[in-house]
Amino acid sequence: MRRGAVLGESGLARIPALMPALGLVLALAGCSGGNDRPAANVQLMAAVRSGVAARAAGRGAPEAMTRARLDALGPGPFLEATREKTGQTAYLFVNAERPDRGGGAVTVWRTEDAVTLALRGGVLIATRGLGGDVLSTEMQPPPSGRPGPAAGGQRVQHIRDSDDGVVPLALACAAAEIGPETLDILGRRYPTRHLRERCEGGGGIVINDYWIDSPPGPGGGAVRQSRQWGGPYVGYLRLRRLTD
Amino acid sequence: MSHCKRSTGAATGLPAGALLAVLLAAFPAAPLMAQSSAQSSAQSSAQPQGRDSEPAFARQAGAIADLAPSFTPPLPPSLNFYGSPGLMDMPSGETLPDGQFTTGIGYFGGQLRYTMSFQALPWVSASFRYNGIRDLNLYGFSTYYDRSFDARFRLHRETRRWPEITLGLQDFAGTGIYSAEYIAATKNFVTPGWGRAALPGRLKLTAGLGWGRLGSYNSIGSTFGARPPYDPSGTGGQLAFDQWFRGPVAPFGGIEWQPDDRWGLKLEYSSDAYVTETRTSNVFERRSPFNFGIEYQATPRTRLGAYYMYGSEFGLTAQIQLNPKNTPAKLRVPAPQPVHVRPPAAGNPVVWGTEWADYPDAPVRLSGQLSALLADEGVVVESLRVDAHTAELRIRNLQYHSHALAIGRAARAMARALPASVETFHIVPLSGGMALSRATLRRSDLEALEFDGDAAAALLAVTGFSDAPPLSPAATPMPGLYPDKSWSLAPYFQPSYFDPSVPFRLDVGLDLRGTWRPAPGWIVSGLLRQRLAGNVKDGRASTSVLPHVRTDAVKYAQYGTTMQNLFTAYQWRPGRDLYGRVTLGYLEQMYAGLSGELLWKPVSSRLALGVEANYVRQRDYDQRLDLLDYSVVTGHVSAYYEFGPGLIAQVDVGRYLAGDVGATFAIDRVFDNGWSVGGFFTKTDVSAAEFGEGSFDKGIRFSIPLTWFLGTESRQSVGTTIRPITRDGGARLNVPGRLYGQVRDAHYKALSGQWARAWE
Repeated sequence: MRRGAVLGESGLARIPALMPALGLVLALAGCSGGNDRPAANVQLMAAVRSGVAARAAGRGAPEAMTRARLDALGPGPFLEATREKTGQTAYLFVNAERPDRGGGAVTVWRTEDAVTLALRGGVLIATRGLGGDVLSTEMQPPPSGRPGPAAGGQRVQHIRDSDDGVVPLALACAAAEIGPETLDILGRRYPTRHLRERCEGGGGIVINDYWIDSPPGPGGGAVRQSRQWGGPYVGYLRLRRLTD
Repeated sequence: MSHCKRSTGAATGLPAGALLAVLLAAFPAAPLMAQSSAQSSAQSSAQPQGRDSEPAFARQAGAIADLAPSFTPPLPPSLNFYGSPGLMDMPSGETLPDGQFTTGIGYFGGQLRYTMSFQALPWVSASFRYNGIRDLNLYGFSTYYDRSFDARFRLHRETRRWPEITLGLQDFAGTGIYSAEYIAATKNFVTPGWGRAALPGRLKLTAGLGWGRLGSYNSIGSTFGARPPYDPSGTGGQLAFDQWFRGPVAPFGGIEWQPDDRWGLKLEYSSDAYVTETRTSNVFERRSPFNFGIEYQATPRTRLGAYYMYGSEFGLTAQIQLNPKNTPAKLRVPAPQPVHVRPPAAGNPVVWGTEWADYPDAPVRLSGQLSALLADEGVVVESLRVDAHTAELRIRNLQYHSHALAIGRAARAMARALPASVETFHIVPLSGGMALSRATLRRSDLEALEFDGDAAAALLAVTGFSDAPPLSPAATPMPGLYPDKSWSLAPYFQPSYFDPSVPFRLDVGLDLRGTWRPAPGWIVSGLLRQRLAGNVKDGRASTSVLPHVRTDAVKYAQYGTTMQNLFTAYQWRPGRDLYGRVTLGYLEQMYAGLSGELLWKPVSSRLALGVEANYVRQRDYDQRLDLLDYSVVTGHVSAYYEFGPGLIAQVDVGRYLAGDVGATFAIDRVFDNGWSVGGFFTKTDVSAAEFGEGSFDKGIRFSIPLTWFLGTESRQSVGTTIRPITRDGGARLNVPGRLYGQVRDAHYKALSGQWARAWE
């Protein structure tokens, strides 16, 4: 913009004279103490500085998970989650487990950096800490609490929107068997059946894939691996149960 | 004192236009925030897609890119040189999405127009414009600067057959150089795909009739007699009813073709003859009524355009469009700990026992545990009252712009720390030690509803909101909270707008703020300011015939080291639904004295009533401890009413700083996420001639929460009040810590709107 041309004789032309002072202000800004949160300008400066620092540092690629590293982490179930939008992978531990109506359970998985995924019988029902989260999901419970989605029916995702509210997103879903598949997860082989769920709604189509232990085994089995849609902001998540 | 969003005075705040244009436009293009970078870059690389409400456009786009539903809003209408939806110099019949907040900068032929617009309601928008015309050489200025207001009303929504029709009033209250009225209609058509992407494009046909400036070229007739001429000697500011839709009327029209979601081509026929600029004066030469333009969507929020205007001039625009309902960075809050579920009462008599309540140290122990759990969450525990079945927790929310979220986090902490027999949770958010409201939840509901399909609505249905009762003598205050000290050193930017010779001046420097809270409700606070550079001090001296209650700003700006304020305040609850405040000291840059306020606001009421009385003396220009001779008793009776889609109307009747008596009318659109945009005007017994330029006091104000563009939680916001001109009539005192903003934030309307966040 040739803004200076119009306001040539005006104040904007003198702004460069303020630059040294502005630099000093930026250098000094952001000191505070006590219980109160810092002033708006301090928070802005801090955010800009940390953003610049993060960009300078770059995003390190996470070390690839191996069975040996996994065993070193200790006992307990671990879930691997990859967000397709960003390519970021995280390893989650069980944060809480709740018995559910119909004999199933809701499991809350948590990352070290405070992101949680809530799964009902292996089906994603809520996320937290990602931004634009799925706050809750209305869904048909699968019969007799077996893992995986119901054969069909309506599902409503309640998506956190930018005006501090929720936007319901109704999807009509139907699941179909693709067939048996054997997965290899970090050197272990799991026989599964592949279930594909197709949901329509909100002007789009969502495809969720589930690989469910088959035969179920002594514990009733689990959704061993899945690719599920976490709403329009979170996008698709790829989940793998690494250990039981 | 809490960060009262509505208390922004004219003096404080950031240089609005400059800050917004640079900061917000830059964010999507060059993400600076570590946490938001993923989303932002995804947004800027993704083609803006239609939502389900959009026709075939969206679905076909989805077939190629991503099939999943998208909440990305469709591309909004592009803006013209006046910052309104339109072609180049002509408006269109289009309407911006509800809440859209736009900044348009346009330049051609020595004319710069800078316009801020707000789509206040789905069918009403308002704009404020500042413009400069170089070499006009009229009315005693070589470069002529002016301010103007527009309003647009959608008369008809676009349907399959009918176009969108809009009625517009341009520059309806200024001195009138841009004054025009129009009715414009625009119809959208889908065009076949073009280029690599092969997505369908859009063609928009616009036709309209203009009066005033827009009826000055090739008019086809005249309506309602002759139009009174533009009178530059007037003080302006009055609604120009006598001009509207009078005089010659001329047709205009044009075509906009958007072959894809990035590019746009424009062609228009202009009905503006530019009489003043090209005949009375010689700003540019108008050779043709046809204008041509090409536009490019640089980021999802920024559109750039280049034009060939009137057969002689090149022009440029930058259009920045924000929507409060669409953040540049999705807010990320660290996930809460899941609600701790108690074992069943049957078979667990020890866990469910109530003997613990008999131990005298139980409240101290439990409040210590709660405090430790909530410290990481940015919530300070002020007190706990607990018995075998009920607990009341009072909290100070430092971090979350939504009190609902702080209440949710407090409830989770209570479910974790309190013994199983405690079933009823009362949570009371405080502001400056003053209890704002009380949310009452059943613990069983928390346990049962956390993974409910519609958890937010279900929890809202079983949560009670009521007036916070006085603090029980049985409550245990958290030890070590008082006295409390805080300080901060922060940069400040103090702009000064619209001096005809230098339209934008700026001071920058450092603010050192110290706050001491000796006991709940009490505050002692001071702000020292050191200017490092700036030119506000070179402004115009006052020529006001009224007492110089606000127009001596330049005299105050002569001093580099100043004390902006130093005061002590107490706020408390005088009774049910009542809130009180008393403030004594150096209240603001220009006044010192005593201020008292009383507010009546039931928790679930849309109506609030307040009364404020102040006795103040003007401070010496050096802003140290001395006072000048001028003193005044000023005060108002206020009514606030919330209605419709987040509108707050406010009327204040009373005596103003210059001793004038009158009333201020204000209306603000407040979004659940904390955005607010509004306008106000004041009429007092000061005549338009005594008042001077502008005739009466008026302005616009906006406030944007930091959370909205940082993507992390904060209770701070940036914003400002912009007056076309600051005079001495209808001027009000800026008292820190006014009550309504603090109180409304934690009342039913605000909490229920954000209640989904209680689960976050």
